[in-house]
Amino acid sequence: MWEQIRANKRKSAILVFSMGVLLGVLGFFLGGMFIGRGGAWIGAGTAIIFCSLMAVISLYGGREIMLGISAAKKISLEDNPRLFHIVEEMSLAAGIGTVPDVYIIDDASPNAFATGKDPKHSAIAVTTGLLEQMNRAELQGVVGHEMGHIVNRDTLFLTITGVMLGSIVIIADIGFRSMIWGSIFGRRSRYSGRNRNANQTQAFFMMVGLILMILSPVLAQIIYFSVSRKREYLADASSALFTRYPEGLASALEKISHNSKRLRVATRVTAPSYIVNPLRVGKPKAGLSLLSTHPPTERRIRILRSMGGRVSFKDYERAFSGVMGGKTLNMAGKVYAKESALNTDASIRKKKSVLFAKKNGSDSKETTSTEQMSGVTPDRDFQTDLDDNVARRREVSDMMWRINDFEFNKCDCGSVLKIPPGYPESEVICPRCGKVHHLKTAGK
Amino acid sequence: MTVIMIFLIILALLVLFAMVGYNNLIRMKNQVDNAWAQVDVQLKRRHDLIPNLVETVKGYAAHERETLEAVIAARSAATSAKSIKERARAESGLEAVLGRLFALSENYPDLKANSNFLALQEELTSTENKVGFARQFYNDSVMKYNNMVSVIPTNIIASIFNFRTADYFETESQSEREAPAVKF
Repeated sequence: MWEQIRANKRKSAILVFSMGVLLGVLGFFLGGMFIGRGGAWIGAGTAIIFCSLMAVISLYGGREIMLGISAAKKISLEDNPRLFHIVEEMSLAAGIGTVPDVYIIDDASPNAFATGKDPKHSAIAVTTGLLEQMNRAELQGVVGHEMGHIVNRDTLFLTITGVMLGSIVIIADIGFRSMIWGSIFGRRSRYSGRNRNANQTQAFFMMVGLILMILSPVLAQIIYFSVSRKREYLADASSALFTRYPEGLASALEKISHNSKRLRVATRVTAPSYIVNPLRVGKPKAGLSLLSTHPPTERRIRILRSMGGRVSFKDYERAFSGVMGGKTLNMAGKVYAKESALNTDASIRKKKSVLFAKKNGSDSKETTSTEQMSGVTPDRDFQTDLDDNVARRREVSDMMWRINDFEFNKCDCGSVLKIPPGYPESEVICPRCGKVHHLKTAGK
Repeated sequence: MTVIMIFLIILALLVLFAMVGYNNLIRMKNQVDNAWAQVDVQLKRRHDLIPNLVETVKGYAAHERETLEAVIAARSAATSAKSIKERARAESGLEAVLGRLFALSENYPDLKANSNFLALQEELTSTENKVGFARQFYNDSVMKYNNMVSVIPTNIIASIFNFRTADYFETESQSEREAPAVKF
């Protein structure tokens, strides 16, 4: 884990430095070509200043940019206590002092990502689809995985990478468009003597645009190569270690892999940060594993499920070698690898006090106090699975109404009326029992 | 001359080693203390939630007085316990009694439909989980720290500066030590 932290910090520094060098060289040549004497250094200088600016922006604003791209809305404890509690629980298990901010993405595709430059300034975003489909243990597994990314500083590297390289892609786009527009309007003035300078600047921008256009897909490929898939395995291992329950994450990944809806707000730049590749849904095509940002989900599930009762990093490595036919992952690292022998037994999980027995016939013998403590995991809702699903979906849609400032009116018959803001009437009739409700905020 | 040089170099290396070892021990000890503070916070949360829980249950299940009183008694035992071992014992007693209370609540559908009770349930589930995770992190930290204090090179430094091994926060319920049964 410490190795991964150091590696990520190192990779971030190398990325910024090589971007600086690359852009510096580019600026040097372009400046020399178009600005005349001394222009080369001006060009290089401008490029380096630009690069440093981008680095600073991506470091301090990167989190907000990633969240903004993904249309994530911040929530508080009241909006979704279950999710908030789970994030708090995982923060405790990971031993980071502060709880990351929690955000929601309104999309039916189940997924989650984490961002931020260090644990104290991090955020976790989760889609409404994930909240609807996962039970508590699965949600805990997913949040644990994201917490692993935060602790290992994957978020630092991915945030910087995403913003810096993403900005170059945008500039290339601007360059391309201005080239097209420029060539349409520039044609008229080409033969006028006065416009030789204008032509030169135009040609300059064309060059920059062209070069960046050629560069940006190459850069995007570089992102994908340098972003190793190993970090996903390590985050899975961290999740198993934090929750002491790899089956939770395994079950969550299984449900996610059955999803067929593409996540609307995901882009090539933000894709590596998600728990499962949001751009390629359904069965993976063969042969593309080297170019993909995530390892195959099925493999991740198999590794998690073959860990047996033990949950340390060493056990994850063992499971990894088992599934991958001998290849090792090399992540336990440093001196205190002996720590992998710690409290690994999954039965530790039952030590967490159990308050609710699963409600079905066979559990009647488990309702004495001590047996209740040993037999059942605390995270299973005590309704049947169907009630469970309905309850979760209602919880999620209620949360979305609340965030969007709908007015909640509780009727005596038991139903709750949710009125959108700006509703033109001042009274509304309950569809179930016919009672008339007077609206407080909506209505004229 | 060279003998003195070698001697000084060795001395410098020893001092360096001692410094590094000492710093690591301090860092680890601080992590253990911090982790314990977290456990403390979560335990207090659990204690604070209980009066509200008892009141809510009393409204619907007044004749379960025995259990309710047991809960209150266990809670005051837990809040007054002092050493880590004592607290561990008191907390597991409290957990057992809370389990009984929630088992009883299964018999009162009105209570289960009460939104206050449901919110409390989520709070308590989460608090129990948090106590568990805080304890997990604490015990992990204690293990790393104890290793450092006992392992051969650093234990010399540990004994010089009086670093002692810390106690684990274990619960003592017998049934909790059983192997997990696979249920379908």
